[in-house]
Amino acid sequence: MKIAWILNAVVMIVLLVALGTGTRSMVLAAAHRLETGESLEGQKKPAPLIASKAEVAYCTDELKTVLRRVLTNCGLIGGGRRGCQPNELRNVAQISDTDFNALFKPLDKRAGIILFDPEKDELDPGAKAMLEKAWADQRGATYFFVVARASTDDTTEKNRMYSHKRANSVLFYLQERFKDPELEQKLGLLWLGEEYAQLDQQFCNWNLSRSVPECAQAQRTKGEDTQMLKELNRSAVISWIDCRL
Amino acid sequence: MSKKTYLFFVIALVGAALGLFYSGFSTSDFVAHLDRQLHPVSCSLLPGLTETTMLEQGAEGCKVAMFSPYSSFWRDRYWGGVPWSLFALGLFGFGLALSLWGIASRKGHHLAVNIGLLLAAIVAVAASLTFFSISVSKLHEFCKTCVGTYIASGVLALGAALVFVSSSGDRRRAAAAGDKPTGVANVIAILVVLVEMGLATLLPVGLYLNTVPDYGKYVAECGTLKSKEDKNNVLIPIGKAAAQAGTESILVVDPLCPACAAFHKRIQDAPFASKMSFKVAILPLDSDCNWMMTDSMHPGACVLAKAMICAKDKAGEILDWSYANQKDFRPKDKADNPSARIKEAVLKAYPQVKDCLDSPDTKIALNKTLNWAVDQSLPVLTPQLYVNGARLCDEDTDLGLDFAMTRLLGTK
Repeated sequence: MKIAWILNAVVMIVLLVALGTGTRSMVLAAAHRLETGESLEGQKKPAPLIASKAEVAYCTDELKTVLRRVLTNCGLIGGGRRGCQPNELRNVAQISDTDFNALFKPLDKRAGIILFDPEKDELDPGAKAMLEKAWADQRGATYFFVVARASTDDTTEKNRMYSHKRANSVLFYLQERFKDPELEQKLGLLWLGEEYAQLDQQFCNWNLSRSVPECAQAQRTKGEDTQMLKELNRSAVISWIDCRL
Repeated sequence: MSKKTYLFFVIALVGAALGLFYSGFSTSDFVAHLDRQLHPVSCSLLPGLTETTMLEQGAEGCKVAMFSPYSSFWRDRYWGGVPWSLFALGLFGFGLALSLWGIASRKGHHLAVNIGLLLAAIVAVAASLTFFSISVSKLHEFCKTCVGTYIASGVLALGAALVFVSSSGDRRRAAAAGDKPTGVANVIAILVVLVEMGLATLLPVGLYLNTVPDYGKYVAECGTLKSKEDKNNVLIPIGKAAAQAGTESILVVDPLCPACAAFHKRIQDAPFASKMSFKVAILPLDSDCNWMMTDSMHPGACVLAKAMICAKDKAGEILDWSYANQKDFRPKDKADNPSARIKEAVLKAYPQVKDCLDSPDTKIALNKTLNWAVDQSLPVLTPQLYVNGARLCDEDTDLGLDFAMTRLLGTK
């Protein structure tokens, strides 16, 4: 009987040691992985994507540099007065008219062109609808650019005034329609008059607030139509810019 | 000891060995997760031979069982709690050792051995029945490794019962031959066996509690919101108005994310939910409205997000409805974009959102929600929970939930 109880003690001790060491080693191994970040499977967990503003392919360094200059000097970055006049823009952007327009060409799918009647700055229903749709489609963009223009129909001063009024029409409509308290910080306003960066025929393919029959005509004849260019430049180009500036 | 009793001891030994095998795998799977990572689990009647990853359908039952609150206790005190399988490990180990000893010493017919083995078997069967009924009534899933443990309990019980019956004859024969222990010796022997059973069952638990690391420091290291301010009112209150007095908690969810549905339910059902007031920040992982996604993880989520915005005080209802219909809203194949189908279903269930769903103002509101995530530099993943501004770590959303929430809510 005595031997039996000794055997019992041995068996039980072996059991307790096995259970104890087994449990302890499993927990210690997990604790080690916890401390060191090692994985049982040897795979490192990828770092999660962090929510950020949009930065799309057209955000070239050149575009960003020009936009930064414009934003800084036209009051959007760093506070101060807002808006940029045409005679200032040439100095501010430090870029030629053609290059300025070329920079914006990758925005053809994102942007829209609001067209105005001659010597007018009122938004028609098509223009309002386009503006609402464009403003609502901010996505990850920070700044909304409004680049108003005028055709060459009138005097330079008058055209400058039309351009300014057209830019303001866009601003006032957005203010009234959306009552967004942050609108001022998002909207970059430029009015270019007739003397800077006139839009060419390529802009016929952009999203226009109303149809321009002369664009279709020009495409058929493959020629530049003066009337078409005047129509295209009585306008305001609107677009969110998907770049981190 | 008769040959019959030997045979019955072998049956009990097999049962105990099987129980040790299955509970060992269950414990090992549970303990492996103490590193706060996800690992494959042994979800099989032949564990060790086939390993199932977390994502495989076959692992569902074991995953559900392991992450359920029934797999362990004291979860608010210890990260993950103390797994019940540790007790099983000790109990089956004791049954195995006692059976081995009974066979080796030829004293297995003694009353103390019979009682010890029977008691171990009764506890094992009672526990198996309890966990089986939980699987049926609460989890609606069966964990194959657990089923193995239930079978082992049955085999152990069968062996122990047969040993008990067969040993009475052996004892009579031994008494007739002059080998009859005194009453005191019997009582002492029974006490010794019971102490051994207690030691075998409690020692693994004691060592476990003594060895688990301090998780307190890890709970608070997953960041905080940059600002608790919600200047654009993008956060949508959900739940009963009366519950809005608790600790402010922000759930970042995608209405089509299955993990969000499961996590949301777990949080709402948890005892600590009564101490929280919930707001939802919608983060649809759908490139249709979320520019941060190159591909849509949950196409159609933008439609549901807009519906929630339109529904205002019924947003919580739409979220629950979305969770409930996730299976129907999934793409049928790679080419399928379920957005139109989801929109149709939304308008059928909630016709009042019709005029609002595609309005520019709704689009702007959703965009502001996404930009709130940008302003807060949130990770683009769901679900996320912020308690009083502090983020619940992803690693603590399953086993460590009660532990982490107790600390984030400041109730510990």
